[in-house]
Amino acid sequence: MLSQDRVFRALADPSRRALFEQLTKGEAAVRDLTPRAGISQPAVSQHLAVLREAGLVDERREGRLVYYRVKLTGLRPLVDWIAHYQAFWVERLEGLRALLEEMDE
Amino acid sequence: MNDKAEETQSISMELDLPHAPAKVWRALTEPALLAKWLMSTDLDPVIGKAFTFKAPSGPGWDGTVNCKMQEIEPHTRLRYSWGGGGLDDTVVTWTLTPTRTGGTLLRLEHSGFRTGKGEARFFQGAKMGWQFMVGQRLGAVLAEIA
Repeated sequence: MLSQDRVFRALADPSRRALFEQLTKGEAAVRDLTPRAGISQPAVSQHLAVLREAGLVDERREGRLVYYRVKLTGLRPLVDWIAHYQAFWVERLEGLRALLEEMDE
Repeated sequence: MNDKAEETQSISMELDLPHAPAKVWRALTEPALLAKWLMSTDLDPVIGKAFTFKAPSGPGWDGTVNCKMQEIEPHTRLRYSWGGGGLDDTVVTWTLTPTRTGGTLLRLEHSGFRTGKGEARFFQGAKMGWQFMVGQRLGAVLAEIA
């Protein structure tokens, strides 16, 4: 699977996206994330595992606690979103060209 | 690029069209025509007037592009702000130049994409990107999961 697809897949889930957004504000442990995420602790852990596999979060162990934080390099596949925008305009302008053909002078 | 300087990027492209500027202008400014090739809109070609483009909504973004008309020079130039889904302060400029053969050289510039390093902003900007520009791809990925 492409790294970009892995990132899309990880963030396609609203709960995971909410967790990720929360982590962009700072490092947090599962217990800090659970009350705000509105889902069970095991579910939060599972979501964090998916985010970690996608390279979007890093973990740091401190005693019995594991702290999670956003991994900046994990967002690299998305840097290209400007290129996606470019693709959007290329496609739409083809639509414009087709429409102009149909329109009366 | 450093953390303090606000760097921006733009996208530009040109289309050589066999149609007169007046006709191209209509396709760029009439909502009924815009809906056919771009998105449904309540665009009103009046400077300072706010309007929206509506794309299908999805996770992270309601599909609304918020715009404000900034410049109108009939059959020549059209400029409006373009924001939404965490994408702010970008500007779309259309420039129409008549060609010798009676056609139009249409130039699109979409400027103001901020490329700062802030993680949160990165994410905000990318939200719209996924949904809006790679909707089909995301859809395919989602279908695969289901």
